[in-house]
Amino acid sequence: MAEGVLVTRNLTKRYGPFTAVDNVNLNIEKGQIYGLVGRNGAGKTTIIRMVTAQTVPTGGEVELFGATAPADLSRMRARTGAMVETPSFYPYLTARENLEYYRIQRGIPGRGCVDEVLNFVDLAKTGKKKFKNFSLGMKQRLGLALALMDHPDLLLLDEPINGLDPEGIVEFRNILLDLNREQGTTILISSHILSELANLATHYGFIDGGHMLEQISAKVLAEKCRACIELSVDDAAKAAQVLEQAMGVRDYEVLPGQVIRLYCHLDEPARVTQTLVEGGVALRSIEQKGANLEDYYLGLIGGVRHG
Amino acid sequence: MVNYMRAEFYKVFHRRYTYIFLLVLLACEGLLVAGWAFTNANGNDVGFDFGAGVLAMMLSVGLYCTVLTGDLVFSDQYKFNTLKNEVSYGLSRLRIYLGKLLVSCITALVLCAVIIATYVGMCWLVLPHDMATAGQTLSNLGFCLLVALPVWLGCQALVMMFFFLLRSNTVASFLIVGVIMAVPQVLKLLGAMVHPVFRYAYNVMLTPVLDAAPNMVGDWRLVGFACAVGAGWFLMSTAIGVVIFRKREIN
Repeated sequence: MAEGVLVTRNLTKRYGPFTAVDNVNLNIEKGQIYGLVGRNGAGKTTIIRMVTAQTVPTGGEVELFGATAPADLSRMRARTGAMVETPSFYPYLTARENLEYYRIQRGIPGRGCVDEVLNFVDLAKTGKKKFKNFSLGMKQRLGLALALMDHPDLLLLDEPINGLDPEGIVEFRNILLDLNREQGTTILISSHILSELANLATHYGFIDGGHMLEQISAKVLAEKCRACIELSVDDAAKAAQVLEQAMGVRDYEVLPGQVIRLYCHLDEPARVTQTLVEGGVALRSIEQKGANLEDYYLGLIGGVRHG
Repeated sequence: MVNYMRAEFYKVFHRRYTYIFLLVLLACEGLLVAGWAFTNANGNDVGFDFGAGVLAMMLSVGLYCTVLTGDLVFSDQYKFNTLKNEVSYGLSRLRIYLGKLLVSCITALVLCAVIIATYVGMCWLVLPHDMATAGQTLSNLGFCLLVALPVWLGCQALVMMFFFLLRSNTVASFLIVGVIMAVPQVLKLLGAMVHPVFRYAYNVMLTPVLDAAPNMVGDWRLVGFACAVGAGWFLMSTAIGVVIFRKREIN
């Protein structure tokens, strides 16, 4: 059984009458890149803030590396690296001084790790430039450097690519993929930029209005979102036979309710229709289906909300 | 805790603010002593005993300096949002609170020692002094400092409490100055006009103890009372600060 790195049970946060996070159950296992998907205000940041002790849950439980007791949780947090919202550092210190401050504070031995991680995020040559004079991209990279400094087993990243230019986004993605593949780092990444998450995540959690709508692996999601022609017919068994014989169709599935999904001949709907009619099958409807992550999420939350 | 405090010292001594704060205070002292030397050159007679004795009259200034030493260590944590980097790594809020409090106290003591030693040294070098009376002057000054130190530390804890509890350092600073300056005056007035119980409350405020020191040199009961007042403010402020900070949202 895979090791549960981060588990939440009925995690809840209320601010007066407003419930920001409502009984959320997360389960992130070792080695996963878990994409937390939701619009602004869905509760993504609040979940991460509860996991990182920045805010106290109103109810429920956080389990990190198997620990749930407050003192144990504190110790386990030292195995995590976090970048929550905008990276924050002392503006009057340089990148190296800021990281050195946190290195001393965290009791990480050896100054080498500061240079190592600055090289890793390409900030080694910033010299005496103070944090207050950094560009947003540089600030994001310094935030990542801090999160990575102690070689964390779990990375918690909240909207980490906000403000990065396209080149920066690619670099950032590659860094995360390398960490995951080479060091086995588990990553929780929240974002509303779904196209970017689609390039990274191995698992997804879809959240809206503080509720966890669905947790799904990228593999299952890909299956669900796979492009197909969906046919509704009077006799699905006969239709399958006709298609196999006349068109050599092999990649299809028969669903309940006399529905067939074809995963081939996607660009030949007219030929499919003609073949079925000639084979004596009554076609009720034909529809091209398939979705990307964005469509899937919008489908879950019931479409785009206006106003 | 040791690592936490080392890091705080690293930050304090890598800030220009620390050195500017120190230089400004030393420059003010230099101007004051130079001014006296200048008047002496024009027939006045300001000696070491008077110059050093002035310090005993200015013990309350130390209370206001704790706002600066507190700010030096706390460093606008809420404005820069840096506390999230500490709590998310699993550092306990108690450690964060006590670490910053202890570092602010030690920093205040070190800066205080430098500032007082420099002032007394400048007075000794620049103003005329008599070996016979200088010893007594220094002894009196030492007594006043013994009274002042616990009260200053109590005030430092109060300052840190306000910095931890309020998002704005500016608002916190105004409130601290209010507690140091205005509250004793209000209590004094209420003591005279409403009920004597306010007079007792006035006596355990921070400034009255310091104001009494130059007139009660040699009375060791005052040192004991100052220690009690200082410890009371220190413990009460720290307890309130820790309890509230433990539940505080870090944004």
